[in-house]
Amino acid sequence: MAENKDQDLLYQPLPQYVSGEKEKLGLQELSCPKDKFVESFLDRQIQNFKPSEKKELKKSYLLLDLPYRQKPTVAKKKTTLNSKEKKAKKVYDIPPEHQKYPLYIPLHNLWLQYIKDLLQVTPTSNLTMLQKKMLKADLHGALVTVCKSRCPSYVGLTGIILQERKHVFKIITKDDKLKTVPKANSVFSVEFEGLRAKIYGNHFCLRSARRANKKFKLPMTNQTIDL
Amino acid sequence: MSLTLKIDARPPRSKLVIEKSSFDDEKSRHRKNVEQHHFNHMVELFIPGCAELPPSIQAEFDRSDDYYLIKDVPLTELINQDFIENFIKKGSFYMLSHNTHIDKHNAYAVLPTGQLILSVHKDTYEELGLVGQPSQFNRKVKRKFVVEVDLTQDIFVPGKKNYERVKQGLQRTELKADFLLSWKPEGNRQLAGSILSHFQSSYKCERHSQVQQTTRHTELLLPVVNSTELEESEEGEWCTAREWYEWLGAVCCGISCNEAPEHYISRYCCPDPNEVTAAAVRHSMTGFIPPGKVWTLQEAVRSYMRESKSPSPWAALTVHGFVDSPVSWARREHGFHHGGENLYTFLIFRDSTYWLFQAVGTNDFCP
Repeated sequence: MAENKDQDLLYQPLPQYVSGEKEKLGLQELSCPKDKFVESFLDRQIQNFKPSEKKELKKSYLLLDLPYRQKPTVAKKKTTLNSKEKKAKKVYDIPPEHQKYPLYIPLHNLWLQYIKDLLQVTPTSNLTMLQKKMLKADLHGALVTVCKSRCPSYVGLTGIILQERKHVFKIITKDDKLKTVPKANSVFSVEFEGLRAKIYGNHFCLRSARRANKKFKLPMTNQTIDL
Repeated sequence: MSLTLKIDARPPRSKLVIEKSSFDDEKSRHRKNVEQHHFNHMVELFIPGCAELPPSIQAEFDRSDDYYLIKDVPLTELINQDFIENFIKKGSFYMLSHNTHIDKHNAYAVLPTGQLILSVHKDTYEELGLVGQPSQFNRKVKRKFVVEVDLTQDIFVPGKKNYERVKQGLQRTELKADFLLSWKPEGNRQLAGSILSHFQSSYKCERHSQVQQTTRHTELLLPVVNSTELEESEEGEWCTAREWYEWLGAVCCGISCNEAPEHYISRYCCPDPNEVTAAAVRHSMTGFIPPGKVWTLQEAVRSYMRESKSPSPWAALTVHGFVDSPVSWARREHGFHHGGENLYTFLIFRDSTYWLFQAVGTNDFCP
């Protein structure tokens, strides 16, 4: 109850011995609003008090009995792993027992279907349009061959793309080996629908998601297909 | 817009190696030198002191040693198993691509040791998929690559990984060339012509003989050389080896050396001291000449020089290699640059000593 009593004390009128001798102490009721008084008071007391500073005055009042309490922040519930954790947990690594070529033939068939739906190749279809679509197509499941490379040991490698990263393709070959082939300095060829597309790896060093949004400028000027 | 032409003002860095030895010396490498220079385009024999070529040597020149020109052969034909077994492994086999300029085109060669040498351009190399070395002569800008395939290895058979890889690479690139071919079977059981029948069914083949030419000189000034001394003597009794070699080059090119020094066209004159010989004969043979032929020729010249009645102080046998061959001696890489020359000269003296001059151009290794 003592606390309540203190609070009440704060808002009580001035004691009798003060209010009784108001005139002696020179106290008087404010004739203007409180904030105006503060401003005029500062005007009087501070030299060169600029009007711009006036605006910066904080027009809030501290309450003596109710101190400001910060709201406790509620921690957001985490739903995904960050890339470091993904790496530690080997989320994207393909375990050796899953590195079997026959396992991914359905994926390849799925991709063939997907590319058929996407491109809608007819004998009269425009090649540049196909090219643009092909640039943005997803390549997971495509059967690619390295047809040219600066490093000769990659040449002739054939397999289904399992992963596409920014700089490499991960390919499973017919003899059940997972190969990592850098995109840079290689030319890949993809066959579908009786067409063959060549992928110049030097211009393809992008994440697949970024590639779908990127605007490729055609025809490419000042760029070489030389490895 | 101004065009600035960058001119390399340096002279081409040709190399000349001169060595002095005797045929009787056990450590002498004259035989190795002849046998390792695989692709010979011209053999030239210069004998001073006689008006006609000695009959024993003429007979050696005339002995038929034909070569074949086979057109548009795909390289996959060269790794055919039957072909390797029947020809490359049985006898000395020389094959060189024809009409391919080493600095512009892909060039190929098969050495008698069984190596297939592919000197290919960057674009072809990237497509070929066989591991090779960048050419030694343009290391900064890698334009050419040299790939070696050993055809006579025991494991180079169909079904093996390396064989299949080579086969796929050659099929993918579809390399083709005209080839000059010379084959000498081991022993005499097989006829050398059987190689022709191997190719005749599917490709256009031509049979060629070497072209011979004789030039006779009269009243020629000969520089005096001392077989024991390559360098100049103090009293000027004989010429240096380099002076002699320059003179031989001039004679072989048909430059007159008897002119006065102030002559309009050529100021070259025979080095001092010199002597006049009444007659000299120069005989050349041009074609695709296997080293075996050069070797027999050299033997003939040596036996002629050993004869006491021969009037010549020395004889010079010069052998020019193909300028566009991918190798010069053994497996040393060869390039063209300004001239692509790779040649050697035997200066054979009567006392079975010899001087060997080996000259190569800029894009070549010191022999």
